[in-house]
Amino acid sequence: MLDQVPPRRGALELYIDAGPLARDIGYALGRVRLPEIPLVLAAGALLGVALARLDGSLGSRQVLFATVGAVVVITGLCWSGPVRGRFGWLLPALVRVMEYAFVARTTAVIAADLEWLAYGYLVVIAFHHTDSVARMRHLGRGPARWVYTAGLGYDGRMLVLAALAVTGTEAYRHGLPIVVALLAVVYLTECTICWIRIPRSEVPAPRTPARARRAQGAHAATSKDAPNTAEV
Amino acid sequence: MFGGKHWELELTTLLVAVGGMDGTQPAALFDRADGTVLAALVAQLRDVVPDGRVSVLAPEWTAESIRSQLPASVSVTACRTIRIALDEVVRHAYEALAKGDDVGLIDGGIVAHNEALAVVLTEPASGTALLVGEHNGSSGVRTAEDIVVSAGSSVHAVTDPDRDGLGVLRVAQTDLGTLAEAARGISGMGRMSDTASDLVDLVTVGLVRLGTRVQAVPVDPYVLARPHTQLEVGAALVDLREVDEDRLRLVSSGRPDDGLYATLVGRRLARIVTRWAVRSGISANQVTLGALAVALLAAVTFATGTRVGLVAGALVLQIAYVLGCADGEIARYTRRVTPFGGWFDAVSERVKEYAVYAGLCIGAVRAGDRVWILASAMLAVQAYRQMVDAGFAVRSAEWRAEEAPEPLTLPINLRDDVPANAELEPSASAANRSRGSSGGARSHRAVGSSLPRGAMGILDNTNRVPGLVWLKRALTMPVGERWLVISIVAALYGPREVFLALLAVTTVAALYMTIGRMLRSMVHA
Repeated sequence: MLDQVPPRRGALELYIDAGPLARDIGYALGRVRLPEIPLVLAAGALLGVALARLDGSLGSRQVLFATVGAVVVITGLCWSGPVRGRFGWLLPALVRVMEYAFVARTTAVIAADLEWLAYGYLVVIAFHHTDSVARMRHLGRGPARWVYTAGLGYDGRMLVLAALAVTGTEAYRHGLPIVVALLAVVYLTECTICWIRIPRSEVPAPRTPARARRAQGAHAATSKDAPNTAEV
Repeated sequence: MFGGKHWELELTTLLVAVGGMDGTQPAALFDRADGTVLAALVAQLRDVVPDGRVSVLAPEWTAESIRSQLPASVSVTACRTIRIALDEVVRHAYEALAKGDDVGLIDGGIVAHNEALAVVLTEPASGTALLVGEHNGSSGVRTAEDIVVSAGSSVHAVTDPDRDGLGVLRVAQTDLGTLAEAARGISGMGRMSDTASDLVDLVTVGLVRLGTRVQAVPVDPYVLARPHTQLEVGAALVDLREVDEDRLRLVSSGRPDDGLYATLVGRRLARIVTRWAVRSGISANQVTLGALAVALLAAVTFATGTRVGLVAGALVLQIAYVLGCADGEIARYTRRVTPFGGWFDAVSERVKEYAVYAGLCIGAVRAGDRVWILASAMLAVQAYRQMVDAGFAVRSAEWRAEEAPEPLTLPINLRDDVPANAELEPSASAANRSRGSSGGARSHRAVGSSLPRGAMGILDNTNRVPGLVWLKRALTMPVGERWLVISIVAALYGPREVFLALLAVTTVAALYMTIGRMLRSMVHA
């Protein structure tokens, strides 16, 4: 169990998929709790403006890079502890939209002919998050912890791509396929290992809330969610 | 991996309690056309839980004759008194705990559909659960929000029972320690339990009074009877025959939250596939894999970019959709619902859809149009919707757990479920437990302003209007509706129009879902 996500990080934290950088910013803040939804919305608004003004010029790329840095810091401030609040469940969705909009728009402006690769990037990320949700729901635990580090989180991925964009169009054109390929390898490898390793005798079917809770901490989603959720 | 044999659920220890330790003729030994009630029940159990190990707790005076009726693989334990039978329950509880099994406790004198047993014994998502039916007399239970608050037996009364316990109990692994404690508690009731023979009911009372959350699983639409006389056995068999068990089972294998298109078209066609696959022994995972292949074929067909390709892709996509409806149905019908199967189904559905988007984009490029950015926008909307759904599910599960009704915790040797202060044994543990009990259904905490409560009332009221329920389900654009939009618009227009139409309807759905869930969150702290 050592390589699994510790109970402290529940399903919501898993779905947010913050990388080591954003998490460290949160931990450094310690016990200070800030209102997460307004902060994330503010970060999203900043990013939206920077993306709208992105025109391929070096200046606008530098603005974008600085904005992504600010977004990582602002959102990182939110992860100083388990997500709370009555609307806390919205956070994974908001973070997702930020990352998707960033990748799609940046690629469209900087390397329009690589739009298909940006789509590929989004598919790889979508696979990872669908896999996380499906494993929590059907297996009672999420992917191994190292995947969330190796995948860099939304924060690390955005920073890497923004750095490539600011370095130059050629750097972005060569970097994007490498990033997509590395992410695909990380996510698919861990997922395959997970299913191959499960021996028949030890099927952790999340039959009871108690069992799932024991495995994942109080935030675990059990298979009981399934009947109450819409197939979207 | 796709043979359907991997990652199955755990084996289950099945204890069949015959009763009759007090010398009376137990219902298990009544005759039905195919032998005794007990022999028929054991055969059913071996059918419903093929990997289960059946042990029969029989009264000593007739144990030999029972042993001769049953297959050799079924162990029969002769019990002189009910206390010896309870000791057996304790022993099996510890054995199952060591092995990682769940334990099923079944009254030997029941006449039931296979499915009635299966809904409790094989449902993968349920914890400790009791099969319940309409209340009409014996062994009543009081429930709140499908949790057993108080249970009754031949020596335990229930205030205001609303349903009957039907003598089929499944104890989840996490509750096996409490099961042993409950069995010992019943045993310790002294004379009171010596005259009793309804072991399953007694153990249920013990579990509930020790604070175990026992889910009440309704037997409806199947039939289960606990006959008291030979005549009632015949009547029960007639009742059983009046229900088309197989058809009901097929229908109930569908998802309860299907959209409009799934219900009207997908499910009906999927049932044909399910029947065929079950008959030919094709597993759910193989069908999932097949659906994936067909959807990829649709994507490749879309990628040709020609009108013929778009029309053909639209048709192939619908075939993939029907296959995708059937896999879960097959798993539920064949009782092979596995974690891997559920995961594979969920993930492959996304992979299929995103492959189709890519196919449409490639087709558009060939026809001189660039729509990758629209496909990316579609992924963003879908990711948002998925995260709203998954995130809210996590939170609402926590809210439900916090607000669930608690069972009445009482001493086991108390006859009534109302603590009579004079009779109450001052056992320290019991006193501790009852201090924490809240006594029946706790009302939802009325936190939050009255406005969302009123809005929620309206939302919930609309569920009573049949048409509106369907409209609401279609409004969330589940996979069936989305793929229907893809097929129709692709066949009639082209890739760009597909994405514009999809973006329009799924954005509305995303807003609708978000607002609905935010309103539901308002009532919570």
